Amino acid sequence: MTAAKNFFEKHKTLALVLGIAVLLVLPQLTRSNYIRGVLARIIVYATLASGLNIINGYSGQSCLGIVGFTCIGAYSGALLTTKLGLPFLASLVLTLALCAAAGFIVSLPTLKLNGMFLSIITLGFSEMMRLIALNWQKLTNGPLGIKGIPNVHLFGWKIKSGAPFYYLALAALLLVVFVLNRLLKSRVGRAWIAIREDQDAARSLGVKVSHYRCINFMTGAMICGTMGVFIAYYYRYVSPDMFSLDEGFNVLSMCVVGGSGTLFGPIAGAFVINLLTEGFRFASEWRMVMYAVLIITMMWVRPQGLFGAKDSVIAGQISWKNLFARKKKEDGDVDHIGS
Amino acid sequence: MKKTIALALAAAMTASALTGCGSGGKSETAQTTPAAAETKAEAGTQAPDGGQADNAPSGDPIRIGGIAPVTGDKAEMGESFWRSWQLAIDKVNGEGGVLGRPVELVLEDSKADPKEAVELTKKMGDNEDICAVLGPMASSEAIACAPVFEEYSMVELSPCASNNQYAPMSDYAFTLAGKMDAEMPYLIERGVHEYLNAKSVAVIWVNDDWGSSAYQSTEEGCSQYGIEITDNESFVSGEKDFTAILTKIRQTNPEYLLLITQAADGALILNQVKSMGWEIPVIGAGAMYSDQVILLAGDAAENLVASAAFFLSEDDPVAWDYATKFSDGAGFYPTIHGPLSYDAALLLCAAIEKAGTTDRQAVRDALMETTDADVEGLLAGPYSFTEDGDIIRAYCLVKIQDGKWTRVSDYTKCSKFE
Amino acid sequence: MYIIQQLINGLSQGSIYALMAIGYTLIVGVVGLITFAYGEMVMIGAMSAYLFYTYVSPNFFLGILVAFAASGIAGIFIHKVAYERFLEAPKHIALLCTVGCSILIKNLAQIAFGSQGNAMPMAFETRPFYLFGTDLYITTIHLAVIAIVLVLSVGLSLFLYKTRVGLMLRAVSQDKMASSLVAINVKKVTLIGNVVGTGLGGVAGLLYGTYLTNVSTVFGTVVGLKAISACVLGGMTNIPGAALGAVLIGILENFGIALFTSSYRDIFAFIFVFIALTFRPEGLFVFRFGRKKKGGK
Repeated sequence: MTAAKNFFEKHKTLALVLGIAVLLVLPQLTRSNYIRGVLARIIVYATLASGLNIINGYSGQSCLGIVGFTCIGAYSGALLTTKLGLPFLASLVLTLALCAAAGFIVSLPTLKLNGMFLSIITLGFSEMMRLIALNWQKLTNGPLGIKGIPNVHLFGWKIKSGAPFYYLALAALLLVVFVLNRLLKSRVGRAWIAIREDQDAARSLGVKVSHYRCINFMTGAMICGTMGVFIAYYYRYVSPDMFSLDEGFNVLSMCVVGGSGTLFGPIAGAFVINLLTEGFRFASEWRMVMYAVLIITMMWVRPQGLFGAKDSVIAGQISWKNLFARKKKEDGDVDHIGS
Repeated sequence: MKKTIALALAAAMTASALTGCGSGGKSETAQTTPAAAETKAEAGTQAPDGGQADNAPSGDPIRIGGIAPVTGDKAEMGESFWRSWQLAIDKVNGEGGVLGRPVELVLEDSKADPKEAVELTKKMGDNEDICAVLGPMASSEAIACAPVFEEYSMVELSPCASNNQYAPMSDYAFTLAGKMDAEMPYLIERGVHEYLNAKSVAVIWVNDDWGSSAYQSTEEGCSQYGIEITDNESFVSGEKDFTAILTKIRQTNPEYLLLITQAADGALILNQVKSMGWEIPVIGAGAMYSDQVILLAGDAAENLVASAAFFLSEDDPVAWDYATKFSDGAGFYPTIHGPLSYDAALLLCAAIEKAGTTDRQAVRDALMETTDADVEGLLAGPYSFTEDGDIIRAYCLVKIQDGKWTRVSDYTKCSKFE
Repeated sequence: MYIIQQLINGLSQGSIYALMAIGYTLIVGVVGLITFAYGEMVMIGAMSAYLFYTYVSPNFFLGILVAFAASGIAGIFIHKVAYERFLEAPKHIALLCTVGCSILIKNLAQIAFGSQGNAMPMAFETRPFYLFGTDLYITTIHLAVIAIVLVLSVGLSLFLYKTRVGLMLRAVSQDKMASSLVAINVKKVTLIGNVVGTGLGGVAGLLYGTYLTNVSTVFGTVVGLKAISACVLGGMTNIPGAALGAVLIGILENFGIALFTSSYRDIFAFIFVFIALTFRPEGLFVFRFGRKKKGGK
């Protein structure tokens, strides 16, 4: 890990180009539509996890209901296409606006809340969205879901599932990561990180905490909502079952296992988690057991995630206990934060 | 040290996952190698024999896909599926296999999640060895998968996806369940209207893919026969406490209570009706015909009337033999899903035999022609597919008397299809 | 009359939620982290009681002990796996571990016992008990549930306010650092609090199973969420508040169903929590002054 990290630090551009090249070549390595499909799904989930990462990783809020936005996005994408016949891009843009609005509304009561309260509110939001989709039969066709979502058509090309869809999703992922990277280096991103590290300190330094948290929430919601559209087009079917709480925890585990608060962590997490759930199929009923055990082991061995940095609150190094255990620090465990 | 462990762990996770994930492509090679060896061996043994004198199937196995929930909240229903498929395939193999070759079930777990089911369909579609697929279980899964099956021009034979929208979706979508717009009208016409002569019912229905369409048909049927629906209450699957609904329904004073629920939920409702001290006769939709109702509700289930596509009794040796084998493995007697799954597997095997090849398109065309006349040992026949690929069934009425299900009417259809 | 009947229904259901919420709040208090494995604790309590009644003895009260013990032991497991190492770490790590535990326990239970419903052996006859000669009734199960919940709540408050361990529990739940400064073994007390909390969850599971006349390995998840909502409503660490919140949720749900339909049941609870938290971000029943809630994570 250290070697890889050092390499990455030294040759950032090279590593980036290499990474993108690998992602570009990946679907060409197999001829199986299934594996290509899984890869495309991984990319979609990687973007979804990146969206969640904006909220959980960069502003240190604890949102569990990200799937609620995905649900809104998926249904809006599906309905706009099947009922109004809008093309992919148009429904994408409209969904973006809709999800930003939804993010704004949900963020209102959560601005004052912290930690566990926020988790529960967002969790509740996600369940509410699912139940509304289930019950609003006239619009959503209830539990039967919306079928007959066409393939993506973009600039006159038909983008079939499999490799073409993979590249479409990859483009979206790269765009999100690029925008995110720019955003994090801007005033907004720095404000988010300041809020994450110490909300009260940030406030005392003149950061408008609720303003930036609201923006943060809306950005995350927008990305997750857009991915909802991708999910709708990927499965070409939407039903309320697809947006259960388990799904939310799944995305959360991608984010945490990869390393929340890092740009590439969620992407790595999405690969690991999705490959695990697909790869353990041979275990039949023991599949979820193995999955759970591995998640827990992962947290035990590397709580900050695969890509996680140690020098932040979310890496779990600050604690009331460490304040008393100064001796440990002198032993060379570099940890300057918080004291 | 920690980092090394972490790295090793991550590598192990990814590696194990990759190998597993690759199994879609890889298993083809993995599976063909022993198969190739077998063919060689077969060539060696068969030459002196000059044909298959004995009944044992030999050669490259014919692979049939199976999609059912093995884990998750619906795992119990899924068990009915895969156990029955396995029993049917064991039977076929015991009788010489299909085209002289053994049949093999490739089972995958969908967790009753449409997303998973779609992935699995692609996985099976990519595997050239698989010539047709049994399942998936729920209507929502089946509907989600239908376009993908069409892309692969592969048969999707769902044992119990009863939604009206499903079978007409593609040429490759088949179901054995009997359409919902035949079953509920039957229950309303023959059961509620003729047998019980009810004037008003209150309906409790589970808000899922099956329940919502069943309720719609109920509404239509009731308005046709002038039966008043005093109240209808839906609940989300997973709901356990029905006292609030029941208190509400009791206000409207219906003559009968109609439950469109799965057996376990229905049993809960029956218990809660009893503990309220409310004496109302109860009618159940198809899924309520299950021994689980008696097991869970006991006395409270007495006199429950339900419709059934298939009545399991000890008088029917074929069915009883199946049922005992099933319960030996599962620990409970099969619900209606079991026999339908069993029949689905038998019908599919017959269709492959009829097609004379494992070509997917040919299997599909043969399945369309396959009827119950082609297969022996079917449980819940007769079968002949309509143009859409579904079946219009005859049903019977069953009733719990003295803690046992008894049949109270002959198999008939509702007047619409007679 | 009808509304009062729904009130009674809501009350008896709310009392089960209350027992779960009390246990949950106890855990959140001492551990300082939310858990998603609580629904599974409820399930373990119910299943172990079911197995005990069916195969060992039909004694109702022994069953309560068994449920408490089984869930308590599972609580130790959760504590070792998800909390002990991560007490100081950011919350999402422990949270994910509890999610992992929940998946693990649920699937193991399903592999072991299947996911079908099992008839809970009934300790007493179920029949309605008419009040004041009117149509209003309360069933024997409801009565028993309410009685047991009341007894357990009183017992718990005696434990918390009259014993030394209870004092330590309360101290840890208020401030871990200060507690460790006055020589309280925080880890041990956290463990005790967790075991008592999950044990209560187990008993709640047993009662819920009895109330429904049916137990299965999949019935924990939904009620677990109710416990969380009630706990939030009460202000996270306020035990009487959580109990009150739970009863309120129970009643509200029943009124909601009376007005709309049961498909929306979970929405009622969540909307209520939403509104309540918008106006009282500290929790509905927090009337303390002074000590401000810690900001940040």
